[in-house]
Amino acid sequence: MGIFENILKDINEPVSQKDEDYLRSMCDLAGRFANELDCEEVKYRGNIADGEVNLYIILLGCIDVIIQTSDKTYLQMCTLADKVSFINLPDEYDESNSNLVMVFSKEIA
Amino acid sequence: MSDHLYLDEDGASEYQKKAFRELLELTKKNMGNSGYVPNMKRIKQALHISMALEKYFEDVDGCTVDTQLMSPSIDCGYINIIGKGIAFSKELMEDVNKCVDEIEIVPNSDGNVAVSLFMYNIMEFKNGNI
Repeated sequence: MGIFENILKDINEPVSQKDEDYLRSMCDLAGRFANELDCEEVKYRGNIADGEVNLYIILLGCIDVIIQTSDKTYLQMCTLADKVSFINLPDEYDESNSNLVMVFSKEIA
Repeated sequence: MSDHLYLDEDGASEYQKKAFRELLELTKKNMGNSGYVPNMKRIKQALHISMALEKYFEDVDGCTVDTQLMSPSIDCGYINIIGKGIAFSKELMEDVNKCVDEIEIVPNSDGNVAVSLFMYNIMEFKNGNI
């Protein structure tokens, strides 16, 4: 199953065609974007909360992440999303403090 | 070089002028006798983006913004944002992406995440070429 199919399964509720198109584009970009980052493993999750559709890119085993702001894939993701967040996983999930989450959010269409 | 003229042209507030002068002084101090001079355009950009970030994050619990120039190298300045959950709106992200060269995201042991925005070409060689 691809990233997009997994995200739809995660969300587990009907999404509009516009939101589906958005998610499909974001998943395609996220796969390419995360491949370039220096981390052991990448997981993708999705949900709908507070009127927003969220795509989570969970970077496991990374000491830090460096993004070139001229990177085309990254710029495309920022253009498509309404908000970009960076979260550190709580200690109970991440004793080594080496895991990061990037969240790309967009208001539900 | 007249930083006053540069700022007055822009109609900057007193706060902006004060912050700008402080940043400029710090840059000059760090510059020493290296032959480089502050790149006024880039320093002004650094100031504006750091002020925008400070304003944006002032109401976000646990977020602090700390602007530092001339570190870790003579030609690179950085703006640190430290907090629990750091979220950039589309508009702010566009501004950041326009003038910042690199974004570094580091998880801290205290549960915070540190986002460092790196800007290059903070300095330029005095004679215009290296």
